[in-house]
Amino acid sequence: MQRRRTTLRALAAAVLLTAARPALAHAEIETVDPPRDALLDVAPLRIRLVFGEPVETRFSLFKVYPLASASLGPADLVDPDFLRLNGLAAALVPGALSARDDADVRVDRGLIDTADRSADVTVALAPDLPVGAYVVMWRVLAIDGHTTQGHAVFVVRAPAQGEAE
Amino acid sequence: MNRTSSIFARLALSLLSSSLLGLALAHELRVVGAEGGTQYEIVVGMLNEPVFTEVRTGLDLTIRSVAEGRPVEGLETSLEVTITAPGGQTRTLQVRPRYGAPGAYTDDYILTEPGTYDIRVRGFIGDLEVDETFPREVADGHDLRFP
Repeated sequence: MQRRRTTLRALAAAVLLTAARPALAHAEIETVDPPRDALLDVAPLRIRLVFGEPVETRFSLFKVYPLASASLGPADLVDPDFLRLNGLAAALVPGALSARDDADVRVDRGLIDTADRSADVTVALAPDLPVGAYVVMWRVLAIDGHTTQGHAVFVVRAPAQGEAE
Repeated sequence: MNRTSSIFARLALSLLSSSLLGLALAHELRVVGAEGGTQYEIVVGMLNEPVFTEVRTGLDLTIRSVAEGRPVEGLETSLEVTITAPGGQTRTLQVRPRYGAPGAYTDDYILTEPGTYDIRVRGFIGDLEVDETFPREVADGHDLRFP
């Protein structure tokens, strides 16, 4: 009887631990490539996002917008203050993730080489992105049923004076 | 001192302790941004206040827009938060959003020295630059130890 109780307790603990694990993890972003706050000489053709657990890609949202702001000047694209760019991005993201019919703004071109459930997501970009700051944003549904969202900024920089041609 | 005075003295002491405890428990709220423009509330404290040394605690930062009372999300990459110990050592926190609490951010730490810690929040909320320092008191956990 005592042994059975111990076994039952161990089983109950195992079930609780297993059940608790997904709730503790969610689908937090682990890697963004190009990395957060990258200053790039050449525009990327794709963005790779790696999450801590698989996401339901069909029920998740991935968008890339140019970071347009009247307060951004050419100097911001040569020697960017990424805290500031991320502040502007944070203001942009909620509206952008909710927006429909925004194909004319978006510079992403859908997912490539990505399964319906995957922790590794690749987003294609429009070719030849012009110089500018860009915001990669996501709202993902994890396989544990929880949604998380986030964003990352990268800059395709303008060549410094004397560097071009 | 007669019995009535003693009761009043104890009551007064109790009320004083409660108000002091209330202060120690309260997070600090500041409004940033110019009047007439976009303003935000920054609320800073620590988890599980009052905080004692050698106990796991952490940053408890919440940001809301004043006009709409709306939580501001996505600031984990636009704010740099540091904590400076009474001895002057500074650590940059790895701020992350608190799941299920929009506009709330945290990071974990265990403080080892009693005294006043400065939490500095620097960076941008939208286009607004902020740089605010919040002093927080941490008590000596040694007194709580038993046996």
